[in-house]
Amino acid sequence: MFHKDELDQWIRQLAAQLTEPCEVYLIGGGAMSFRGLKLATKDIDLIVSSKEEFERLDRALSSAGFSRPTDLSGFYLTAMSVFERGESRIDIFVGQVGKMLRLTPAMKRRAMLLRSHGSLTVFLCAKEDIFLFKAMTSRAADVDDCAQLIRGGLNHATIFAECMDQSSENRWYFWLYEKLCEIEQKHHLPTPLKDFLEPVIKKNWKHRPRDFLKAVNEDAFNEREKS
Amino acid sequence: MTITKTNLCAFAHLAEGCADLRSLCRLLGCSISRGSEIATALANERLVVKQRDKKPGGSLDLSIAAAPHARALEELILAHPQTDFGMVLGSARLRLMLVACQDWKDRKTLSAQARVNAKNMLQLAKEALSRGMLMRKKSLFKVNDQGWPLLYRFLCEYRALSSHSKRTRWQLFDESLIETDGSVAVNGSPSGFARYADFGVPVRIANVLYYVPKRQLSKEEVFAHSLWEIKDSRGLYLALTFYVKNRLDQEQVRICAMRYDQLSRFKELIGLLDHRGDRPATARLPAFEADDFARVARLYGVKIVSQR
Repeated sequence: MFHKDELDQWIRQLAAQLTEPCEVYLIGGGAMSFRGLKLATKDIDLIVSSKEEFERLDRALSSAGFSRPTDLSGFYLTAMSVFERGESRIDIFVGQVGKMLRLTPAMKRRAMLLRSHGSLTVFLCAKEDIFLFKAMTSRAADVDDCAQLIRGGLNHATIFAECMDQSSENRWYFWLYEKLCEIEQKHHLPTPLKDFLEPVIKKNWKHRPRDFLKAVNEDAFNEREKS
Repeated sequence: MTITKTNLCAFAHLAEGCADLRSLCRLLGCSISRGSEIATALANERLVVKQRDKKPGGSLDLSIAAAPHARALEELILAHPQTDFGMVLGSARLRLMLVACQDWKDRKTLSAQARVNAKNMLQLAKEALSRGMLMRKKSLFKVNDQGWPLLYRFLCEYRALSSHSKRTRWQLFDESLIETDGSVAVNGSPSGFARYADFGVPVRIANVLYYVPKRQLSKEEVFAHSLWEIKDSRGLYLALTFYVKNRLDQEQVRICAMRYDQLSRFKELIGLLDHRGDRPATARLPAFEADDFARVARLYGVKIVSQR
């Protein structure tokens, strides 16, 4: 587990091993920790923009004692690599998280400079983007994290705009809407974001994934089918 | 009944462990005299207790008051340290949340009761809506008691703060409905079942409901107040009979019911009149049987045509 102070220490250790410039964007539980929304996180999720930056990080993490169980031959297909040291785990994504959402220029503009040590510059993604990345996963704990982010206050218009911008090829808004339904069902937290999405969902209903809303409950699915 | 953003911030520091005026002023970055004003304002709202250290030149100790609303606010702040409650509960926003805490209300009612400009109401509610503290269902708004139970508890306790007694059935700022068996004098206007006789539905009652402050009440208001008195099926049938016999305007009553936090009950009550079964299910009202209602209505000269 990483607590906020340990994260800081880890960033310094990593910076000490880097010899060439590298910009990383922190998302996930690590980002929530730095924002005071989470006490500790099981792993750190980072995004880099290029393969070159990934290779620099790869070398630095190996020098810092992390091992990479991920076979690099499959790496460029998934654009994700995992590094481990004891119980600590670092997931690094290149440009895209889990073959779903990308780190866009707009997200970079919204990110906040967190730390700058030597060659390493760490940016903290905006809460809205942390939420959006977490909304795409199927992990139960991410529903709780998303609820925590909502309680802290989010700009829902920003989340909607970003989701729509990234939905030209894949309709990520279906995933986002389903996550909002899960949050509402588990934590009783409705949001204005769902109101923004509903007309889009209705308009694109025939393109919905086969298992859309199955994670929430059958009734919600059947009601939509009827309408 | 108002807590400014600065005062909420001060309260949050006290909830997190700050125990005296000097420390509080350091945390707020203000002068002792300003800090003293803030502490006094919080004490006036019964959120904080001030205690002067008896030693010469001693400090002013501050602690969270034992009052239920103070403890509820403390619990709320400690449970959600990442939420800036000044953005959702500061000044006019608090009035808005207090008005919306018990039942669904439209913008017009919320604005009027919270004494905020109707055009600004959505702007004031924006942060609360964003965090899911306030729910919106088409044109109606209500505090999210399930998603934010601690917030709901604080708002209910704060609303009851100036409650006259345990006999207060409903309270909002300077308006209240007080029930008495006659042993306590109330300077208000009789309402509810006690006034039904004036409108052709005489009812024998043990307690009288008073509306405070004293003023002339319309029959729609009398009816809306009586919704607070419905405790059993008999009361339900009497209310329905009153509604039908006096041909009350549904929209006028809906507005009154909203004002007195009875919209959900009123909607359910109207649903009973339109229902086609013998025993429709009721969530907020006592059990209803169509034949029993028809019998009570006949006593008052109201013929109920069966919809079966």
